[in-house]
Amino acid sequence: MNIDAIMTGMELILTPTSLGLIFMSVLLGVVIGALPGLSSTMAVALLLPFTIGMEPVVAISMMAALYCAGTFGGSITAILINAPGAPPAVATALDGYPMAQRGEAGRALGIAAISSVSGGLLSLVAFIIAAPLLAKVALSFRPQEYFALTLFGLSMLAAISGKSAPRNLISGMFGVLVSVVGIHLVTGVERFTFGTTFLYDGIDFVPVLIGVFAIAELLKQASLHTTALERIRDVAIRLPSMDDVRRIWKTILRSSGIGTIVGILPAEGTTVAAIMGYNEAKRWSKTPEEFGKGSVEGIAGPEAANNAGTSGAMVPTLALGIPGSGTTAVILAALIMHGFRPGPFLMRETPEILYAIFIAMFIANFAFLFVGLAGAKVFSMITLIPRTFLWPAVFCFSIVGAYAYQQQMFDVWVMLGSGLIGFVAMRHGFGPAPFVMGLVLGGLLEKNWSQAMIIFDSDWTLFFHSWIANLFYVLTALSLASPLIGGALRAGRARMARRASSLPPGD
Amino acid sequence: MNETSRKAGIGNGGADGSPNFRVHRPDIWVTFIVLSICAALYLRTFWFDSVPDSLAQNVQPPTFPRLVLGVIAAISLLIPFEYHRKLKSGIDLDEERAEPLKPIVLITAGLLLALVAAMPLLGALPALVLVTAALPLLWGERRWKLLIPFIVIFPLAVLFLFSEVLQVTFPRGLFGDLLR
Repeated sequence: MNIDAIMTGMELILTPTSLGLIFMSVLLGVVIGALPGLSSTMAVALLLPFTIGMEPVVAISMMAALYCAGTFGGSITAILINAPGAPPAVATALDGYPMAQRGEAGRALGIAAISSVSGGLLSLVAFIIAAPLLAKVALSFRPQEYFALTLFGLSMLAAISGKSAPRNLISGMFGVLVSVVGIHLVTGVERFTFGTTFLYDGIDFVPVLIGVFAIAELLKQASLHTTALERIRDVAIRLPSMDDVRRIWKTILRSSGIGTIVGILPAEGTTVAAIMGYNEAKRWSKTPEEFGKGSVEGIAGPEAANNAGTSGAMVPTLALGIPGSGTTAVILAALIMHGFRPGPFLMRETPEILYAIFIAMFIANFAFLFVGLAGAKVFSMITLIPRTFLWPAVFCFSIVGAYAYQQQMFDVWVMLGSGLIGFVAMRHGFGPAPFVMGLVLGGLLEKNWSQAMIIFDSDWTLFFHSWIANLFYVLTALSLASPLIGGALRAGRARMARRASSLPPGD
Repeated sequence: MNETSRKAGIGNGGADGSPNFRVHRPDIWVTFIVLSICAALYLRTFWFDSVPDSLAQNVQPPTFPRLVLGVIAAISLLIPFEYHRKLKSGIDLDEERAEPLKPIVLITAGLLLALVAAMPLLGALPALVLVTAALPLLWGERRWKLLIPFIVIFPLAVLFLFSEVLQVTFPRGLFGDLLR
């Protein structure tokens, strides 16, 4: 372990300014997480322009803290008003809201907070152990292996947001295509610049991220009606009793493991982790019949898993330069924007960033426990902010943020254009998260492909001469085929069940 | 026939009776648009400057984009066959686009374009004031006691944060130039 790097990381984070900024990010994260429609991905994208002039490590730490807190914030409104502020909290609402309805809102919030913090802290341990190890392994990767790894990361797009694997993949590949706009690095030839000098350096991440996450959502909100939500008013926060702890500690441990592993897998996010955490909690529970009616394990399972997923998702982002979720794709873009080289070189050249982020996330976990518990009642009232004020405010931040990045109106147009295209694409099932991952990974994919092609003298067969690369190709093929394999397995199971039910008793 | 079975096409028959190979008309259009974009961009790659092989080192500028476009085109061919298969497993791909776009969405999009176009002309502060006034009014907000403080305070606060704290220079616009 690099003691110097740890000390430097601590020095960077343990200053009053950094701590203040991290605390502010936590507060912002909980607020954004609590607001249905606003996601932590969008919040991190909007935060990017604010961090331009900041110390890069503090800027990235702020985003990591916001990511952690945003994931927890969603569960407050999930429990108190049955409106999950963020997708990872959907599973929490299944048991949290029934508990709140029977007058145990405080207990539900206490269990959610303790489970979230436990999940977050346990996976941070995995993060600090796994990230340097993974980076050390990745340091030996050659361009063809890196190409295969990036391809694997992109293939995992098929699983993002669930609905349609082909659409996710197309969305991701369009992201890759947008990343090639500009001057070709090997030959200096213009590609897709359409004669405008603004596109010589390519299309920048920041305005595109703001556009696809904020503007597309704003247009979606334009057609929605304001709905009055029934609010649980009696919220006396109560930490879990010893009896509760005895019932949930195994669930927390199991879900933390699930969340960390799911988070580490490229492109899988905290939502998948939360759903798996919930399902496993139910499967292993001694009282599965209580699920959906206000089971404490039904809250602990998804909450521990989704927060464990946040630290897990940071592992491939920092160690390999392959984002673990939509939000970490934005954090990856921020790393590049601040001049870092995400991937194994980040660990070798600036190891202090790893420890700084670790410390920031550690602090963030305790901060949102305090903020979330002390202010749960206030945060549940945040949903009272009318959308007629909220979304114009988001648009103001979007315009100013997109402009502030390079101080040119062209970026504001890129932001708006991305938002409008993103909105139309979303209506037809093409998600913004795969697009952003493609955009962020596109440069890396082409760079490694080009390097390998130069080394191999255009001999494609040499791409398959490395066992590590071949392993990634197999994983890529498996992840691409996973929707088909899953469908076939489900159909097979359904056929078996039908056959079993048609057999006469006794057979 | 109930809604789900109607959507799933149960009872309507199919080309071969299997939902796996039935096409969904809106998705044919989606595929057509994706393929058209791919074709247009692929054509565009023929206008890239040519580079001698010795300089390109086996990596000609159009090769990678063409590969990506080929992959997109190939995957897009699966899209029309997806709908009925997904519906069988309870996923409705038409959920988001089931209703036609409401006029308010189109008007909002138009307003956003107009507001951004107005920014260099008016300057940042008047443009933001317009945003905070026009959007809530368009969306039906009429609580003036809330709206007026929002219009006055919010743009000023945002611009103060960016211009004074983060040292960003915004377009001054016509009014800014007149004041100067």
